[in-house]
Order: sequence, then structure tokens, then C-alpha cells
Amino acid sequence: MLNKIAFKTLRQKWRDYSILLIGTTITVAIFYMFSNIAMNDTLLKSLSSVTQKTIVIVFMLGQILLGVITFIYLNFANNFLIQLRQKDYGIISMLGATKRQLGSLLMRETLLIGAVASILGIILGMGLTQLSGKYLMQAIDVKITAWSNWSTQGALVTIVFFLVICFLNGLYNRWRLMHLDTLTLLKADQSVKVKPAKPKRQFVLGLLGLIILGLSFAMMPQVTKWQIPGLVVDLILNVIGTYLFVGQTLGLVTNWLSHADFAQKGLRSFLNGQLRFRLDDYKRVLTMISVLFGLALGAISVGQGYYVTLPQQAVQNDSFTLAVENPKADFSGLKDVTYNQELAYTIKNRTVYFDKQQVAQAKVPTLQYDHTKSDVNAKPKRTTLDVNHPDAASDLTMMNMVNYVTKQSFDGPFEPYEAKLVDHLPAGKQKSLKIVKVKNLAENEPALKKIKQAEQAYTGNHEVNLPGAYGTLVMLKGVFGGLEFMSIFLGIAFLVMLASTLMFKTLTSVSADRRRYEILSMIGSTPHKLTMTTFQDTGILFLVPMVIGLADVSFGLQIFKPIMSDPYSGLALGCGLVLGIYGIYYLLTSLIYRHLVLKK
Amino acid sequence: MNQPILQAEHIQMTYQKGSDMSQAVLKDLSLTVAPGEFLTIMGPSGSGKSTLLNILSTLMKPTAGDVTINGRDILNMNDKDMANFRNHDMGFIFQNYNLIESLSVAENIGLPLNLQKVPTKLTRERVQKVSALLNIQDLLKKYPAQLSGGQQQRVGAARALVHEPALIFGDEPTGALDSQNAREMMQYLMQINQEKLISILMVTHDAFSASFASRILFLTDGEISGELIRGAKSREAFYQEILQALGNFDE
Repeated sequence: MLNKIAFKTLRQKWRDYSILLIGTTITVAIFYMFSNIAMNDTLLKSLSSVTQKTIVIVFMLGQILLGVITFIYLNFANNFLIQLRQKDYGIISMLGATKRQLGSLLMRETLLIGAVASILGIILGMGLTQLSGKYLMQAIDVKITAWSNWSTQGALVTIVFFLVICFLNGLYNRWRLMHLDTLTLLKADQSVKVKPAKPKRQFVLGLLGLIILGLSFAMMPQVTKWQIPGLVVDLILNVIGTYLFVGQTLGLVTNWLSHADFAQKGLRSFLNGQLRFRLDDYKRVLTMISVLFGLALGAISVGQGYYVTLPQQAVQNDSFTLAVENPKADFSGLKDVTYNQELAYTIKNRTVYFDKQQVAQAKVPTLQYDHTKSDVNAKPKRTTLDVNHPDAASDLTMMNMVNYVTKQSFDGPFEPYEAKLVDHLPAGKQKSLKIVKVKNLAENEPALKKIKQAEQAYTGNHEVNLPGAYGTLVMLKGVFGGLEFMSIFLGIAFLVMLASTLMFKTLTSVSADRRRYEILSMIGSTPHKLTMTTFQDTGILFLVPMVIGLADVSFGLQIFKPIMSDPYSGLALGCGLVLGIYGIYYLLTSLIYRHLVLKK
Repeated sequence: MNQPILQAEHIQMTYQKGSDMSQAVLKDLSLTVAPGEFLTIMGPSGSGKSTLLNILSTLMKPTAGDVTINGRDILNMNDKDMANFRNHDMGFIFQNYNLIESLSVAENIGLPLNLQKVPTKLTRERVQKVSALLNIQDLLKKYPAQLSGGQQQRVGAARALVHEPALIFGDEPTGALDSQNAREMMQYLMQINQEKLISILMVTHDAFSASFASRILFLTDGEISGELIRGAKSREAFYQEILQALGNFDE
């Protein structure tokens, strides 16, 4: 019987549950995708071991983060569902169901949702993996022909994880339900909370909220000085500030508005009243959503920012673009070549010999780091190698080339050869390195890729990165490409969860709001005006966290200044993506809300 | 005689029940409300009085018939005109008060004027005036949930009155009130009717509330089955007359 009731309610209340289902399904899909990538043998085998390790760690971290947030999300979502269902539970309980049976009913519903979402999510996740696989391969610059979107291991991990989470949530819900008596359940939708207005207290707290939030913003650029403790303190300040701002400062504003003349026209007083009325109820949700919005946008912006500045970083850390052994290397496809020389060398007794005269003539470019400064972001000085300097042979640029021609990989046993600049090359097999430098690395990437492929075909060396900025770029892409990829999907998952939480919260108030809109219609509002009002009504709820979240990110990106040349470079892209998804959610919520509130 | 404030002619309302079954709730019903009249429609539950009120107050469209209020055909109006009409010419008082609980008392009362885009200053003055009339001037800053039922209904009456409509509709306005509060409420309604000369059309099943009206129509099975006119009688005498009439119906 209980199974039947559980199943029937799901069917009847499909609209409410479908939102939970969609949110959970998308999360499952992204979780599965992460699992699949972290456990994808074909992918891992095609990567160098450094990249392999980073990718696995990055995606596992992503999964853990996603798991924690999912747990919180499901908890919130289930909470709203209980609110929606309280009356039903009350009636069932009045008819004689024991608390135990009610709890069991709730548990079955939760598990059913979890099971359906897991299956749908994995199917969606397979599609997502297929599509995103191409994007990931591009981001980390590898090519795999047999990309599989199915991973048994990944699917198992996903299903087990989500069922466990649903089970824990079910336990929590049951525990909550046990503590409510039948009467409270029955009268759930009648209780109207009115807090006695305490203007003085609200004024002080409202001002405090503004100050604390401002303080957390002001602290952000300084946070790196205090390291992790600073970050934690700032995060706590931010959360408290947001909470007070939403609950109290906005309350002050709405109170002030209710006395302002311009806020009385048409349905403005109604909208203002709605907001004032909801703030107390919404302050916790809006706080969480504001903070999550900031985190989602931040994650995407930082990921994007890293990615778009990779060529710049690569160029910063190398004196030339590329050096190759292939004598037939074709540089004709390169644009704006600013340096092009060839160096002869001979390898003998674990030593690589260069012709001193030739090196001097070639004016080999190099970088000079000032080690007296501790600033990691300090740019090295660009100079020409001084062949007469006692350490000239072990110069960074020279050693890069030496390690390359002697196939010294950072992955394997690293036993570098020595380098020597001599007047005459010793007898033995003489080879040469072609060194080239271009003005714009990003622009020349396709041509450089061809040169690299020809070089790999010539040397048979796939393990060691080419010396120069291009090789560095390839390596950086391997490491940060995965991070960029993950940041986007993690950001999307955050966003989906926070937006559906908000959607839930908005829709829980439908029954109460319906009556308000009916009254408005009876006392003479046009249908058009009512429609506009529903959009504004939900709009305010979506706007508040968005504005706070945007402010969070605008200041918060300062934290990344010491480790990124320009933390704001990814903001535009991030904003586009985040606001796009958020906008879709807002539209969807408004449309459903309007439909439910205004339907005849 | 003056042009009636409300004129309903040959109203029929039929609900479809399945494909070939239909139930007539109102059968060819006609009535008029004269300017300044306080008309009450009485009838047991299921007699069709709520349906009639919904039709007369533009909330529902009849299967057939015509309704004219203040000289305007309300059944052939577009949504915008209809909203405008409700907003200017009509007021509603409901059994369950129907106040918006997210708004303060003053905001609730002022809402019809806000919708008309009346200047804020004027709105405040009129809210003050009407709340003085209904003796709720001390409650203006409170919220509906903080008020008693009787107080809430007075706020509802104030909201129906604030824009000085031609006609106020009452749907069992005393239905949720105890006898003391019901008496007060009806006295206020009578006062509004006599002092402001606003016509009132009310449905109720309660003989006591009905006795405050100037005329009563009895509704049975979708048809008007009787009429009582108060004339110069005292309220108490009228009340006895109503009880007697109801007794006759029961037999």
C-alpha cells in the first residue's frame, strides 16, 4: 500500500517533483561525466604521466566538491518538498498512519526519485561525455579515436553515490517528520508568521549587514597576505554579511519604500509587500544562493581566465618559441618570425658540445631571473646569452635544449647531461637544432602543431616536450585544460543546483500567492498587469543573489592576482555562460509560476 | 424612476456534466438593483446564489442572458475594460475577507486606488477617511494576521469602499463572524448604504444579516421564489417576517 501511495503522489505532484528530478538528473550526469573521465583508460593511456596524474586528481577533487554540494542541494530540495506535502502527510497521519509509516513513505519517495534520476542522469551523462569529450581533448590537446562514453566503473560509482546520498537524506527527512505532530502538519499552510516590527533593531542589523559585507569585499584583495586563515575569515564574514544584508538591510529598504510616494503606483506596493513578506522566509536560501552564485561564476571565470592566458604565460617563461632537430622542418607556415637560427651540436660522454663561436653569432635569446626578489610574478629580463659568462653553458635556455636532444623526460629518471661551449666541436656525429621565435604564439598554433608532428615523426620522441614556449603551452594545456574543463562543468552544476533550489522555493509559495493574485484580479487588475507582476515578483528573488554574487566575484577575483596575470580575463566568458543559464532558469520559473498562480 | 444600477435579464447558467448530462443552476432569472438599494439574496446552499453573485459581479459568464451595471453591458467587455470597470465601479466583500496578508492594513485598503494611479497623497487621505468611518484607524500599520476576524472584515469593507464604487457586492460577509461581530459589520454596511448612497448586493443564508437589507429575494433551485420589502418596518419586525417566510419555505 505504501508503495502505491508513494508512486501515486509522485505522479500527481509530478510538476513539483520534476524540478527536483531535473536538478538531480543534471547533477548525476555531470558526476558521471567526471567519473568517466577520471576512470577512462583510453584517455589516461594517451596522456603523459604528469598530465595523467593531474587530470585524475583534478576530476576526483571536482567529484568530491560536487558530492558535497549535491548533498546540501538534495537536502534543501527535499525540505521544500516536505513543506509542499505537509498537509498530505497530516491527512494520512490523521487517518491513522503511524509516524513510522509516514517516514517510510517519505523514504520510498526519496529513493524512487534517486533511482529514476540516477538512470536518467547516466543516460544524459553519456551524451554529455560524448559531446564534452571532443571539447576536453581540444582543451588538453590530445587526440583519441576510441573515446568511450560508457564506463561501467563510472556508472557504478555514480549509482552507489547517489543512492547513498538519497538514503541519508531520507533518514534526515524521516527524523524531521517524526518531530512534527499531526496538527502542525495539517495546519502547515495556514500559519502566517508575522514578526513584530522592531525598527531600531532592524536599522542596527541592516547597517551592520552592509558594513560586514563591505568589509568582506574590502578584505578580498588582501586575503593572500593572510593565506588560508584569511580566506576562511573572509568567507565567514561574507556569509554573515550576506545573511544580514538579505534579511535586514533589504528589509530596511522595503520598509522605506512602503513610505515612499513613487513606490505606491499600480502594483508596486504589492510587489514591495511581497518582498518584505518573503525576506524573513527566504533569507537563508537567498544567502546560500548568493554565495553559490559567486562560487560558480568565480570557478568558471578563473578556469577560463587561466585558459585564455596560457599562451601569454608560456611566452613569459621561454625565450624562444620552438627548437627542433628535424633538418627538414618547414617554418614557411609561421607568421611574423622574429628569430630563426641553427645551432650545431655533438653528443659525447654524456656531454652536449656546442660551437661557442656559432652560439655567439646566433645571439641565442635567454631569460634572466632576478632571484633577489621573492615575487613569483616578477617577469624575467629578456637578454642574449653571454657566451663568455662562466655559467653560460648551464644557462636555462641551453639546458632546455640539452635535455630535449638527450631525451630527458621529467616523468622518467632525470639524469641531465652536461653542456659545454667549445671552440671546436669534438669528432663524432654532428647534428643541429633549428631555433625559431614568432611574435604571436596563439596565432601560430596550428602551424606549430604541424611542425611538432613532423618533429615527432622524425625523432620518434613523444614523451619529451619540445623546448620553447610552444612546448610549454602544450604542457600547460595538459595540466590546466582539465582544470578549465572541470571549472566550467562544476560551475554549471553549482548553478543548476542553486537555480533549481530558488525555483523550488519560489514554487512552494504558489498556493498562498495564488489567492493574492486572485484578489488583485477581483479588485480590478488587468491580466496583462498581473502577468507582468508575476515576472517582477519572481524577478526580484532571482535578482538579489545575482547582484550579490556578481559583487562577490568582482572583488573575489582579486584573490587570484598573485597566481594569475589577469584574473579578470575570464570574467566576460564566465558571465555570459552563467547569466545565460541563470536567465533560462528565471524564465522557466516565471513561466511555471505564472501558470500556477494565474490559472483559472 | 431612475435607471437601475444593476439589471440582469433572463440569466441562465448550465453546467455540463459529462457528454449528455447537464444541470441548470440558474433558470431564466431576472432582477434589478435600484440606486441606493440594499438588496439581499437569500437561499439554502445549492440554490445557486453564489453562482448568481459570481455572474453579477463579472467573475463568471452565464450560459445565456444579459447583465448591465451602471448602464454598461458587462458581459461583452474585453479584459482591460472589465478590470477597469471592477476597479472603478465595483467593490467586493468576501466571506473569508480575502485580504493580502503580505500588505499592511493601510496598503490593503489603498490598493484599488493605487491601481487607478491616484496620487499617493490623495490615497492616504482617502484611506484615513474610510478607516475612520469603519473605526479601524488605529489598525492601519498592522498586518491582517494580527487582526481578529471582525477587524479583518472591516478592513475588507474599507477596501471595497475606498474608491467609492457604484455598487458593493457582498458574498456572505458575516459568514465567518460571531453574532456580535456580524451585527457590527451589518450596521457598518447599512451606514455605508445610507450615508454614502452606495448600492449593496449581498448573498447570505443568515436571516439576521439579511434583516439589515431594504429588500430580500429568495432563491430556490435557481429561481426566485419570493420577495420581501422592508419599507418602514423596524429591523426587528423585518427579521421576524424573514424567519416566518423561511418557515413557510421549509414546509
